[in-house]
Amino acid sequence: MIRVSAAGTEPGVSAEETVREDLTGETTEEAEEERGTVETTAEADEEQGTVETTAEADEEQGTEGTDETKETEETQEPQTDLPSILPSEEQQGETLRMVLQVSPWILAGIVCVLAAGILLWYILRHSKAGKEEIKVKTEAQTKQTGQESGEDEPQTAKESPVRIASVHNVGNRESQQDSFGVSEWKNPKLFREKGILAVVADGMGGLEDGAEISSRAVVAMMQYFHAKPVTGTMSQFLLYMLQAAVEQVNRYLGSAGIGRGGTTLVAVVVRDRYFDWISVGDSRIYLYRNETLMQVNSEHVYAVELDEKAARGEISLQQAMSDPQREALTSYVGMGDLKQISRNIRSMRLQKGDRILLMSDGIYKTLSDQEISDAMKKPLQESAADLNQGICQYRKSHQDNYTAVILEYLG
Amino acid sequence: MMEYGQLTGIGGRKVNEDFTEAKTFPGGICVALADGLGSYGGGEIASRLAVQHFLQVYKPGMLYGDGVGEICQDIHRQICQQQTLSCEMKSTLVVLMAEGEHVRWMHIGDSRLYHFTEEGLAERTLDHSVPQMAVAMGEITEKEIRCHVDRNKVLRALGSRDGARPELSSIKTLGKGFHAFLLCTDGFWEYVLEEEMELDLCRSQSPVQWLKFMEERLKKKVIGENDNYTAAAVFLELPE
Repeated sequence: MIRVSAAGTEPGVSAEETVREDLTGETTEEAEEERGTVETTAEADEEQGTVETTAEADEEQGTEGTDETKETEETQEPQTDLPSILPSEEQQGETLRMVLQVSPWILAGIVCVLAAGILLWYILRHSKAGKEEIKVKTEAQTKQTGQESGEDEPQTAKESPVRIASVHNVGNRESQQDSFGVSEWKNPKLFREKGILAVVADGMGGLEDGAEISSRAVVAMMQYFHAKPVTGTMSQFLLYMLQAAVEQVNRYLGSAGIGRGGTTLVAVVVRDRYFDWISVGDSRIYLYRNETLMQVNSEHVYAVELDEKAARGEISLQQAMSDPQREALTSYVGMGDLKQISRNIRSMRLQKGDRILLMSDGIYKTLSDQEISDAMKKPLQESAADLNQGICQYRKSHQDNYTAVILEYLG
Repeated sequence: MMEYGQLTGIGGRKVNEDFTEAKTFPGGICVALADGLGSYGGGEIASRLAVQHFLQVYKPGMLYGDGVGEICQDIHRQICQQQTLSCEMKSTLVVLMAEGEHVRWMHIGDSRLYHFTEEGLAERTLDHSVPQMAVAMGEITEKEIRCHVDRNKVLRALGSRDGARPELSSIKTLGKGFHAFLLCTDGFWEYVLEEEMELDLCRSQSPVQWLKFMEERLKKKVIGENDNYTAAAVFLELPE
């Protein structure tokens, strides 16, 4: 929920009061005055021209009201046979005065509403690091992690041995191109049969539709996970999920778009006491055990090939380190057929207290492994908050979108 | 199913004093790995002698008897014969003997053997070293061995003046399913944690791939002139 700040309202005037004025065009007091005026007009009609003002009207109008009374007396017209249906000049003048009195308030109300609207637009348009936006961006997602301030309790299902926390922030970029999803972990049947699936995808910003592609990849994996039975090992099932994501993205891009857009993807399934994983691109999966952080997957970046060439003596180490394409992805969803996939063959046994971290490069390219590890020493919800605060403290002008999902195995 | 792989790296040293080889035969394999102790000189001679002599003498079926102990003593005598005043060569040694569903291992020094199953790390040899003794005495934890100040102080070795006292395991009967063995020198296990060994094992289709993944981790961690590193790996799949 987005709260509109009260900035822009007149001092001493609440936003609610201002809005009410704008909607009704008058205050409650003034409405009563009008009714008094109407009654006075009706009485005047009945008395054929005699204008009487109520006491309230006199108070509001002050000397003017008195003058009107005098004018009325002075300009009293002789009785006619037909009653007048048009407001008299006095009545018109009075009405005009009342309008002039309330119009500043009306104008002020309009200005305040406009100011609030502009401020809201500005806030949405220029989100800064430090503001936490936690919303799962998948159609198949059924839960919303709550890391808005004061609501950072990690989700725990009664029967689930896993607690989950997440961080999802646009950083200092124009738009959010990371996506993530977690399966219906509160569904006991699904959990028993298939476990818990967590996915993080990082849309490639320099290419087309990074946000759309990352979202589609996550949705495709989620849908496959929920809809299809597990045949074979979970490792194989993850491979089928990845294939579904690849097909979805390739279909979206079309033959002309292959290679022009893409996303990384890391996914983990925790089932029983084991976990399986799969990854494409440069997002990372870590295992945190006994206060030690260990990377699980390999990244698919050109740096790996450059370093191997340097090791073989084909190029110098300096050439390898300074190559401008060093960070380029060598495998990603959206390139057509995947060149490389990093995945496990055999499931890994979990220990009580283990944490599995899935993250986009916006996290680890700002925070060191030591900083990430230090954050994991705290209770789960604080760990996620520490990751976010740690990145905010660096105040990088080009801070990338960053996303992390943390699964803690309770045993 | 049985597969084998090995790797060795000189690290930041001038000479590689590690050595490893394997001998396969129908239904079984014998793998030997040794680390010459550098500070004594001639370490590369001692390690090569230890491995090659053991494999030369070892015959299928020997794991069931006490003959392997005698092989070690023979190696020790040969190393001692080659020692000089300026070159008191010494070496560690770790050996894996596997035949069918039975395995047995022997080690002396701080070169290690790890046994993994689908459930994770099942067992590893305990070093004959000062830090391992400190763990046994409760002074430090297993985790602290890698950064212990006396980490390189070995208490037993082939060629030692105190004689050779190798440790021979019992004969183990492997359960059905997947088993992996990793033999490695301290220059290798110093940089690769047991959990990392397990993680990389989970994603490896072969012993060679497993060693390659672990070597990648090692290379990312080493700073400066690291020790020689050598490892050998065996995958065994016993049918259900």
